[in-house]
Amino acid sequence: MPQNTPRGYSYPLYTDAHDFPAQMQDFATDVDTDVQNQVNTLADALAQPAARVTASAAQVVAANTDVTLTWALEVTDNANLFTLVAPTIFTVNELGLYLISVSGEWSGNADSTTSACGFRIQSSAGGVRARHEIRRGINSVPDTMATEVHVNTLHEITVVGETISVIARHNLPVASQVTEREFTITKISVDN
Amino acid sequence: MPAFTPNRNYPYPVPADPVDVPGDLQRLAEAIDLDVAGLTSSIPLRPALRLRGTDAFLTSTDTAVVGDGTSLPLDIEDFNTGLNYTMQTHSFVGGPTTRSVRILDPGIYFVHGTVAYPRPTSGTNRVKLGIYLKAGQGLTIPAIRIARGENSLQPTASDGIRTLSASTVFSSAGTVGTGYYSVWFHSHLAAGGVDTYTVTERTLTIIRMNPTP
Repeated sequence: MPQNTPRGYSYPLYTDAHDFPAQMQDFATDVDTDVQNQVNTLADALAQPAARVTASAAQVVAANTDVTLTWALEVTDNANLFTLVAPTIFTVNELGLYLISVSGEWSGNADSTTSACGFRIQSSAGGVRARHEIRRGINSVPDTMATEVHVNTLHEITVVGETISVIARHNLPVASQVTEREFTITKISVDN
Repeated sequence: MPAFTPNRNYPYPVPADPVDVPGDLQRLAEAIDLDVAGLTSSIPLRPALRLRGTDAFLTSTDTAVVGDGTSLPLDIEDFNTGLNYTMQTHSFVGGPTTRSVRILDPGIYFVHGTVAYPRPTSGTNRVKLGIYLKAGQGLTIPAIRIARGENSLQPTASDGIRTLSASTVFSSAGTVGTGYYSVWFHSHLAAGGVDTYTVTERTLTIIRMNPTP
């Protein structure tokens, strides 16, 4: 019986019937398939899944409350990572390493207290993956100006169908809101 | 006549060919050798570019696009693994001067910008210092904000140099009027309005994640 190398290349044994053309064809075809698969893998590595979603309408964030941000516009999405049917999450079906970024604008408040506002990037498979907050309003200066917050992280997707979302939170005594915002994800590497 | 494999064109004999085992093996071995050598020497790199500006740069009071500050000049190429680009400086009536990196090829790009800002030696205390990444659609249309970040506290005497950063994914069609990326810095006074500020090192990194926009 012909044997195979670890990569699947076939070769005859001394006890096999001599059929050189067929055995050459089998071997050539095995190498052909393997090398072409490597070429395809290299090409796929440079064409990664990625998505960008945005929103501009104000979303109210109640005081001292975790609020999951909603996204309204699917600007870029080459791998069905987002759907308006579930407008708060990216759903990732390819395992691997992903760069995830979110940034957005907290509206100004005519409030002279100092407060903090921030975002958290959250995974359905493991909770918070990154967070950042900004202190707004200092030295009793009213925080009437908008505040921009940015978070990014490198995250390993280990579960097919894992979802990524963004939590907004602040500690003003009254409600605040998030306006212009963007949320993006791109794969950078296969998993181990 | 020999036949050839469907993908890589490796030769192999057919039953009607004269028997020539050493010759056929040599031709197959050399075809595989040549093909794999060619693939190894041309492993495609992911196109990536980082541009940097290091000179102290005084931002201006921005009266054209309120709140966006000044686009920052970048004049050093730290690395480039095959990204085709040009540098553009343009302004138009009613718009701010925009210093852009124009990416010429279509694709989906990861864009990352940083700005370092030291403690100012003079001037009113600013309450809001921020970075914008912007994407433009040509030389006559204002660029749009595509990512942002901020710190509400101006560095004090106890602080060193701080850095703001922002990153995002953005798609460029590669057609005329697309692919203009820029990094901006703004500083605001407590009473409102954009103030000048001297920033130092700033970078803009652009990496192509997919060649199809």
